[in-house]
Amino acid sequence: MHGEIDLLKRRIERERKARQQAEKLLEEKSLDLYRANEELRQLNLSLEASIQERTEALLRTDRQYRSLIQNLHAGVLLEDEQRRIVLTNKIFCDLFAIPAEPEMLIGADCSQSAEQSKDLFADPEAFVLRITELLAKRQLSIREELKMADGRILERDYIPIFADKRYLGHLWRYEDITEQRVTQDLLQQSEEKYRGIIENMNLGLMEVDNNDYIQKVYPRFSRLVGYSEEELIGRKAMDVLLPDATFRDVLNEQNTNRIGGEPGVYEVPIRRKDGQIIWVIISGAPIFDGKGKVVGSVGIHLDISERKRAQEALEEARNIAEDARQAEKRFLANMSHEIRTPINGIIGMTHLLKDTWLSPVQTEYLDAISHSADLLLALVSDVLDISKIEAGEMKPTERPFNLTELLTDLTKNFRLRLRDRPLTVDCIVDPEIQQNVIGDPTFLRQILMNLLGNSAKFTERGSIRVQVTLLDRLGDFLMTEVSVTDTGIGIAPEHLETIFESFKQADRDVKMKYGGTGLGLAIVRQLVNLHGGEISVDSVLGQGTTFTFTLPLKETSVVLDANNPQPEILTLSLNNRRILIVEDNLLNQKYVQGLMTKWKADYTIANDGEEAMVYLSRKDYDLILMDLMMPRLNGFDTTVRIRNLPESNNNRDIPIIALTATAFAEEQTKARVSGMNDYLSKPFTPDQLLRLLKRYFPDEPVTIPITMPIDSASTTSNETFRFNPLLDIAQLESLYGQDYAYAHIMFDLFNSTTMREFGSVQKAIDTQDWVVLGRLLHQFRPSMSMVGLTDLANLSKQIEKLIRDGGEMDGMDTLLVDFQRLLTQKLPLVEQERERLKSVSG
Amino acid sequence: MKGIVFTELLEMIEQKHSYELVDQLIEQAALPSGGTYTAVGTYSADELNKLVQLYCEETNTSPSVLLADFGHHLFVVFTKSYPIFFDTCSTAFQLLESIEQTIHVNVLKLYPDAELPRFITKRLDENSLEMHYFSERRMSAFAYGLIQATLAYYNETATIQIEQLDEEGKDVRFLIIKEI
Repeated sequence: MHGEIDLLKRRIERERKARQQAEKLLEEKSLDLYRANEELRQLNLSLEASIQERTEALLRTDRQYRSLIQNLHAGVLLEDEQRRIVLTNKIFCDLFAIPAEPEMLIGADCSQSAEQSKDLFADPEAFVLRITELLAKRQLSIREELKMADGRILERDYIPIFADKRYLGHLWRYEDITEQRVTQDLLQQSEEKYRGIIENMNLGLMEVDNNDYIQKVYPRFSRLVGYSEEELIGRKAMDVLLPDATFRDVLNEQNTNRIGGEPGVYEVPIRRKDGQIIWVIISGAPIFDGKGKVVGSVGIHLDISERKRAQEALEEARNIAEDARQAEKRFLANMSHEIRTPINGIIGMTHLLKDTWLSPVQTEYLDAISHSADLLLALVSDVLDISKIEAGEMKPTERPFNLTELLTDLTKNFRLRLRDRPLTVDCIVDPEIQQNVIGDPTFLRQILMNLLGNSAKFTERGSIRVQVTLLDRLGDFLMTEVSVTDTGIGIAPEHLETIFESFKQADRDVKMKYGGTGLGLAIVRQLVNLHGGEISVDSVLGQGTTFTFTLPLKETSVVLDANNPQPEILTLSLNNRRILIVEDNLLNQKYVQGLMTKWKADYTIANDGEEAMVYLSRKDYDLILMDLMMPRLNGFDTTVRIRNLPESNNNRDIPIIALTATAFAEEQTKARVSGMNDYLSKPFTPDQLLRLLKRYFPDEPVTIPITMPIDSASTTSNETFRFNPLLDIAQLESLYGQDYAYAHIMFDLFNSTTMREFGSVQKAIDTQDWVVLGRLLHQFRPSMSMVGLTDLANLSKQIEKLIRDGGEMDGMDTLLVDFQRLLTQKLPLVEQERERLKSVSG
Repeated sequence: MKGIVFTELLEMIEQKHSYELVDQLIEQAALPSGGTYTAVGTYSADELNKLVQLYCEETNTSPSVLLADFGHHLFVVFTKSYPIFFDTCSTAFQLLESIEQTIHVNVLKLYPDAELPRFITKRLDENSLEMHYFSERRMSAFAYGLIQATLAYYNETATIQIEQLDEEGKDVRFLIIKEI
């Protein structure tokens, strides 16, 4: 019994322990389970979150796509690979007249849709066939145009959709382009219409690309150039049509403009296929593409060959007329010259005749002859002036001068001339014009002489006034206005218009009563214009006349003879001055030498540039007078050498004054460029040289009065001697005054030098060696002036100019005949004069 | 080794003999676990071997007979506890084939640490099944009992040829040929 109880106890004990073991295991398992569960839950949560996120993103994208498709301007249909509708929009439903909302169609089968909607299209069978073909090929196809039965035009895109290589469906896009097409058609129609009009207007149209290759040719153009359309398309327009290389530049420039979007009109000669050259006027315009980019140009061609021929004929006619006018001018100039010579003879002889014993009637007749001769001479001089101006031989040369001085001088002169009349002559200069000015004083003097002369002629009482007003100042540039006002007879309004034309005086009565050439005002206007101004006239008949002209001037700080307001009493001593005279002409040497001696200058004479350089290396000088044309080393080159002397040589920067035989403007410019400071045209009067020298020696003390005005009898004792009027008396008097001894030396010198050289001149004429002739005349011309052979000098100058200009030598024969005739006539006179001078100078 | 093997072995001994013998064997064996087993626990295979050895000495039984009997006993327990496995199979061969494919897979889900024998089956023809047994435990006799019990469960008769392929008895081939 006891054993059994023990056994049971052990058994229960074992069972209890086993249960405890099992419970423990159970707890562990439960815990494991709980943990696993927890992990799972977490995993689930994060999974859910990411699923949520993805779902939302998908939804968003989906909504965006849907919205995009709904709002497209085109009908869209997206089908899956089984041809079930994935997506479509309202426009699609409208286009195909589907009576349903697009959302309702999702999932619908499309396999029969082509068949169902084919009747909407103009060609139903073709529509179905094409759809079948597209679906079979599965290849992208865009912008297909479909005509609908109701006339609308649709544009269709078929877009197959592949993911990698797997076909997922496709997208249809249909757009109604009817309106676009209509606009386009209208545009094209309008374009065609205008092209048609242009074609009918005889205008040839051609289109080229940006590289000038022909793109399109219209029939009228084909006919114009004689090439067929096929012969032109694709070729470079310039190569086919433009034979003349000089016009290629024109075309290239035009093409460049065209690419820049600029239109243009131009004329070129083009070659037809048959070789004929025709002139066309081309109006070219750029062609723009839809984006505003230039893709080529269109040219409208008009045949202007006829017009061109007419133009050329006109041009030719004009040239002939111009030649004739030139010939006329030359004739006039020559005639004037021809006439002047005998008139000088008449005047001279009249003067000589006056010295004989005459009856009062004879004196009266002689006065009449003298008056007429004077008038004739004035007329001829004016004609010469006019023809010179018109031939462009007269050009203003700028130089500094004192305006007030010039005007004072002039008015004083006239006051003296008109002192018998109850008349005042005044001049007023704007006080704003203080300094010296730059302009052409010779021109101004001549203009004012004419205007004042005019006033003097027509004004008996009252006043004549010259007034200068400053209109405007721009830096040193001055625009002035000069007026000459008188209280004379005035000009009738109907004559004011023509007053400045040649040979037009106010009227016949005026001509009868007052005389005159009728050229004065024409010359004035020409001179004013040459000087850059304009002239006008204002007049009241019976009350007076005002001539007003503008005169552009420049202000300069160059001091002329500010200390000396009275130019008549020029004084100068060259006592301490060393002057180098570089001159090869013996006569000129002597002339300058005489003046230098008079003015007590310390001078040296060099016969040419080489010699001058030697002197300059030995001694310091104050100034050089330099001839330009010299053997060995000429004046220009000598000047360049002087200006390039070492700095140690003081002569390097001294003033050099050119003595030029010609008044040619280019020679003066050349002189300045080579480094010369000033120039003086030969022949020059002592006065002219002195004024120039004073500019360089302004501080010299006033010592000796040196001018020799004609009426100021000063040094000479022989008052009865007068130069032969057949020579240029005015010239001789201005050169020598009454210093006949000095004149005698010069005539003597001419006789022993130049006179003998005329043999070689004759020889050059005989052998027609123009180069030698030109050189000789250039050399002797100043000498001729020195002995009063002004007309011979002038003729020499004409011949020289003709040789210089080269070319045909038109009129040379006439000039040479004149020259030889004058020579024979005048040389004995010079010889005579020399004898006369010898007797008076003792 | 799973605790159910211990509890059911002791259960069978108690049924065949008495709890006194069970108590005697446990006391004699002086086992590390103290002989207290729960079906869901896991214990050393040595303890089972010790108990089998002591029982066979005590009752003068051969271990293979004991193990075959134990196979029969355990099969009955399984049919009661896990009927689901048996309901899904309609023949003995199907069940035998499902041991490796289904039953062991589920056992491992519950007890990931279980050390199970392997049964590789191969149908030679409609009525013959070859079955390979591999186990470190060398308990092919126990497997033999289970096979016999299976055939009986499905009311099938078959000859079972046993061929030991190694010396220790870890690799044994059963050839089951159904009698028609």
